[in-house]
Amino acid sequence: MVIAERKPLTDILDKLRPYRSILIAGCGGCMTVGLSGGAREVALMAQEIRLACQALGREIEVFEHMAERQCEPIFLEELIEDIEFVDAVVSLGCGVGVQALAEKFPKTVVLPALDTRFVGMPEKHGVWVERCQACGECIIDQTGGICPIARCSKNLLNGPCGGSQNGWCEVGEGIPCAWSLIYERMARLGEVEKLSSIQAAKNWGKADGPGKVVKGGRSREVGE
Amino acid sequence: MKSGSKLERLWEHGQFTVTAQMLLNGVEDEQLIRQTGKSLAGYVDAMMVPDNQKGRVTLSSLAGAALLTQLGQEAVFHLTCRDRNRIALQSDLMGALALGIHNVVCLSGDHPHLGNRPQAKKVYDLDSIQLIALAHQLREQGLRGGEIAGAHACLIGAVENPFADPFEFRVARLAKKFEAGADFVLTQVVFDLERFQRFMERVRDRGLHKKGKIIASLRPVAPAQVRELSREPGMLIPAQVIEQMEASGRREAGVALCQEYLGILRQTEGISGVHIVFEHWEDVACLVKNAGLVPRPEGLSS
Ligand code: SF4
Ligand code: SF4
Repeated sequence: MVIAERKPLTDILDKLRPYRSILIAGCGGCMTVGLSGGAREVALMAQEIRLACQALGREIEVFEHMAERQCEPIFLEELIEDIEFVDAVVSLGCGVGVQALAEKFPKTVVLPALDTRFVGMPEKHGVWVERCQACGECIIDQTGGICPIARCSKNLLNGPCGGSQNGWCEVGEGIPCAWSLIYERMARLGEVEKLSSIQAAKNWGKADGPGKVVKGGRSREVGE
Repeated sequence: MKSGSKLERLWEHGQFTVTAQMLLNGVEDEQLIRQTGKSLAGYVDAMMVPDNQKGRVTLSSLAGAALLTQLGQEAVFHLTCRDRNRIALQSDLMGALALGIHNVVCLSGDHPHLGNRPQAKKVYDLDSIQLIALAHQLREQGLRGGEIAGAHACLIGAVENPFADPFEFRVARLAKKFEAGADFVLTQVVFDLERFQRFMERVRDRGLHKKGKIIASLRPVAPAQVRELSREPGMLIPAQVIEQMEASGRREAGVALCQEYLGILRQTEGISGVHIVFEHWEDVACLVKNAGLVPRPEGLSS
């Protein structure tokens, strides 16, 4: 799922300065399970903004709304009438949600309240880790189901760099070295030999934006 | 001969080579390169210029190698994948030859987060092995579009760190580098001799020392700096070595250790040369002289 983090309240208040009536829009998809933009976070942010504005002597009217999935225009239809009554929408969706809102409501200001970080999964409660960089051509069949693009700090495809020590990445302790994990897993699977063959240069053009996928059609291909 | 490289000629004549590499600081790099390039003439066969080591901005390795070439010194430029995509990498490989530089060391490069421009966008379009393959393809097949093969006569180097993990995989990676087209491989600087010998045993078991040249690196370091150096990524300095050096406290302790290791490494089967990473060029001169490695052989005609 898409993982995002909330921006500091002061940043949001600062950007809201010109507006008197706002709508806080949450998302029932990734942002809800990722605890960054679900109904609870929407209510919390609304309350924080109200209290902060009151303390600052700023007048503001705050409405709340949850879309089933903010990134799908169909789920934004229900906002068509309410949107007329607000000066700005504060989105607690990922970057895609923010843009879906902006596209749907061409005359309304839409502000992101989250920083979208990555595609990942929960490691434990309240902790998420990156797992995929949407490279456009999945190769993790060759690396024991562990992605060296998203999880190796240098996106290396041919094994660990010279900075891998005791399972940690050279960038810092606390970052597991992806290649150390790959090696261990391949060893357990009895497939270490596979890592001896040279992986050719990757076609990064496969994921070079702006991306578009047409079901049943062919995506844009970049050849060498 | 695959290249116009003096190093290649020396190895073809069975010589044990001596190379050196300065530490740049991003402040007075040009003077440093010019001065050490002159001072070490006659002591080393070639000098290498690092490419923004540790992610810290220094004078371009290509420019540094060109300066050395102008001084008549055989130069090797390091080329990392960190800052350039395959277009820029190939362009620099071509540029090096135009400047008379016939040796390159291909490496992935230290991560930008470790350096002084941590907000830089990392590139890593290719990894070091793919860069070796690119340089090799350029040399052996030329460019597409009818260019003559052999026009890119560059000796291709790589690096390997026997002190990084997983240990078992380091030898396999060395093999991959030779397979991709590396002519020589520099090791990380040796402080843990025991682990290095274990690595070399595995290298010899697989006959890899016959697939290309393996050059052991050494670095004379002052006792006051050894502990800090041991904390750098990819660096393994046994506690015993650190303690001994600190106990001695003498600046020469670092040189003395390298002198001892140099004697051993020269006798180690599969090691074709020594590479000295230096802060003070005098240390290199001293090491080479005491080892009886001067005078250096002349260029040896091809
Ligand atoms: S290889 Fe590409 S698609 Fe597969 S997990 Fe990694 S980044 Fe995602
Ligand atoms: S230490 Fe491991 S994860 Fe970090 S850059 Fe090197 S190979 Fe990648």
